[in-house]
Amino acid sequence: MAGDQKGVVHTLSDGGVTGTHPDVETRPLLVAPATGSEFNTALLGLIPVACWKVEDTRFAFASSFVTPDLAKEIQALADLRKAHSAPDPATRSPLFPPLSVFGHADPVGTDDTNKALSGRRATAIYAVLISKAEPDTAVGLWKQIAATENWGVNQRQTMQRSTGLPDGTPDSDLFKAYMQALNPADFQLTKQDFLAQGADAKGKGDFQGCSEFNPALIFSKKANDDFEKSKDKTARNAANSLNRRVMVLLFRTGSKIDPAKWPCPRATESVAGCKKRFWSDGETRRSKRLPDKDRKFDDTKDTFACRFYQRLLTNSPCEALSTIVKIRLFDPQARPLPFAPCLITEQGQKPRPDRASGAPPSPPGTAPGSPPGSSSAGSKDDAIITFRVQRLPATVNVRWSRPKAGEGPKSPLPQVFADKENEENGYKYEFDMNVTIDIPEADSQAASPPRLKNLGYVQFPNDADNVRTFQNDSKARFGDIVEDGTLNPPTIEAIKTTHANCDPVLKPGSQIVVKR
Amino acid sequence: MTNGGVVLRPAVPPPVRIRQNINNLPTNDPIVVFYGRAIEAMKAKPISDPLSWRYQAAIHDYPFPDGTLQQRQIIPGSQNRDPFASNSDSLPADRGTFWRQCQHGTWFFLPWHRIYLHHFEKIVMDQVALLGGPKNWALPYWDWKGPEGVGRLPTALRDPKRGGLASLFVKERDDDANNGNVFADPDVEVDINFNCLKPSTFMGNGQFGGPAVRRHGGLGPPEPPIPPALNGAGVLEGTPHGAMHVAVGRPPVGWMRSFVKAPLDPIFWLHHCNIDRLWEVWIQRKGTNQNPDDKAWLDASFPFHDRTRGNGDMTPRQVLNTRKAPLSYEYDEATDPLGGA
Repeated sequence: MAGDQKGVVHTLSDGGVTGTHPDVETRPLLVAPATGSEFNTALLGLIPVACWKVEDTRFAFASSFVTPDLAKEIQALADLRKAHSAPDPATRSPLFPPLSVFGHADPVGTDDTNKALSGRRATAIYAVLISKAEPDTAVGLWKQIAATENWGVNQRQTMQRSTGLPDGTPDSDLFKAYMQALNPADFQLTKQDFLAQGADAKGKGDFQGCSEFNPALIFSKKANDDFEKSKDKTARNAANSLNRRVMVLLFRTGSKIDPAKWPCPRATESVAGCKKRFWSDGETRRSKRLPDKDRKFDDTKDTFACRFYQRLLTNSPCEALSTIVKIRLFDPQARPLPFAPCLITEQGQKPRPDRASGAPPSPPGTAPGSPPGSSSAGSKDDAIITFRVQRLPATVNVRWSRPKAGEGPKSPLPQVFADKENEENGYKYEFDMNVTIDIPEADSQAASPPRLKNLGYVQFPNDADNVRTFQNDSKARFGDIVEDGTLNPPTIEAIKTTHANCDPVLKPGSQIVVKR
Repeated sequence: MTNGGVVLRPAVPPPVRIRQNINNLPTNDPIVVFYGRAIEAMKAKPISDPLSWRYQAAIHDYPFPDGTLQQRQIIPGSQNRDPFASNSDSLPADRGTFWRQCQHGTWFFLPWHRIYLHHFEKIVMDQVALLGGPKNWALPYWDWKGPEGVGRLPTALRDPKRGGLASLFVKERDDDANNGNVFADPDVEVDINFNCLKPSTFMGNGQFGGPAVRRHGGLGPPEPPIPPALNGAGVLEGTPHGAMHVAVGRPPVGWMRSFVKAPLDPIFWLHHCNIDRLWEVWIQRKGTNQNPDDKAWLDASFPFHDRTRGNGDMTPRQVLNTRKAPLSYEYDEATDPLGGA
């Protein structure tokens, strides 16, 4: 994952990225002799040493409300900040790199609306970070956002669930408790920990929104036309999620700026200040579409309109596009397993415990017809594990088990034993698969065997028998399939559809209730 | 595939056959009916054939495999003799390698019987398929707590006059068992409180899995000779395993209490299937319950024929996760009856 040009990624989760920027060569200072009435001022350039990106998935759609999962990423920020601290030469106490927060919106909507939204998202993150040291300021900022965005029952319920506070708790108390709980126990930031040290009452230099001026990805004309033709904008909005992000930069320890000289307008101000900082061809950079190829900042470095932002982020590992990998977990009869405990191992990395999305199994007897450990109904978003990768891995090893009856959100994950010699014995997960991630989509013939493998058709040593088993299971669903063991076009298409939708046909034994 | 965006992948584990509680299956369920029909087909094969009923039983134990007919056959007062021994038997040449292999009073008790059941199940499965039965046939297990309460024989194995199937009936059992009455004491023999699941260690006399020795032929001498402190067995092997063997095979003539004759009773395989299930329950019920990680245990090889009469030698390491090939089975229930206590 390391790259000389792009720095180093430290953590990559579904909700965020932390990374260290590549070293910048500091030019030697040339100082001329000065007379008694003159003096030399030597200033180091403003250099970001590390970055922390909060992905769109940590916000509700078109909102600045952050989800409880943000706590994971704040822990990563705390670790990153510690890693880039240095002892004060005078006092020996640690100096931490000061922060500045940049919000970004996607290109849908007007510049002005997006300037305001991206500013609110940056403000929301800033408020969370200072909420332990400066709760009144933080609550004040969230109240303004809540009023602007008309937060209501949904946000309140999320906050109550997360904090355990009852109905009727005043907003101030609820906001404060929720924001503070997102921070790790030993982590607390003050206004002084930011780049302008809170010198400006409205946060100039400490947090700002960049509207839609710095897209990481611009769809091709063809992709855009397809998205626009479709009435349902879900696909477009999902693809655009890479552009909706909040970037927090960590600057060299000791860096401090004067808000009066800071180029970015305040989070609440108009776009005019931004546009002054554009490249001369800034409008083209941020909007030009190629006929059938997406433009990515990661590839060509020419999609940001703001020259100032580009200078800070050109080689940032956090602006490199990452891929979200989702894996949906099933049992051997192809029933999805919401809430399944699992252990994810990407190549060369430590195994990482997690749980699949969805509600825990209902205790026996409470929900007739939905036995524990199995799921008859349930949403297609259930039973999914999500993570981010910088490059697509060929395979990811996943071990998982059915959730046990009566397990809830606080139930511990199965223990991981450091028993390398005998991992099967040590880990105790029921299922163990190398899931193929990098599938040659363009070559549907070559793509079929790995797809069949992901769908569990592996019991026979030869492909023909596995294909035949798939054909037998799928005949009823895809009428045009003949059970002949060959990868003919209808079979290939059926495999592709089943795989893409993560919707396997139930296998023999699926009528049996398996109790765990 | 380029970076950026979202990729979605399904992860469906390889299919498994599900071993079900025979108490939940009606007597006319294909799983039950074809178990009986496959046994009849296996009984028709000669003892020299590894796929025959008698050869499969002899893998467990066999009296005087190189002895005379008189030594092999039942005589008054001897338990461990072959009830079917006859002059026309042609004993297989490989009996020295594959017969009398059963592991008792050792930490191999559980893995050896798991391997034994696995090969037996695959052989029966092939017979079932030949006879036109279900392709995903799996050995059912006998949970000693049935719908009528604790300590009765499953209906399908009782006296045919009491609703049982002739193919699964053996008259050499406790009469109460064959008549469908309670024949086993819930506390003493059935272990209804699951004390067998309570040890937290696998290895050792009085622990879950048994002492670290290897034996041959019933409770034959350990190899190598061991100090007396290592004698004994795991808790599960004692009660309910041994206790239920003895209860079903109550004297004077019960087969289930003999190392030689027990596997000739169809209930043997269902009984051991439940023992095998309790091993899975023990492993899953607590994070700290672990199988041995000693190579002497993991890599000990045991001689077997597979379903094709080919080499079926296996080690405990190969049978730790029943969902993986070649085992590819799991139990319909592995909940912890002690609720984690």
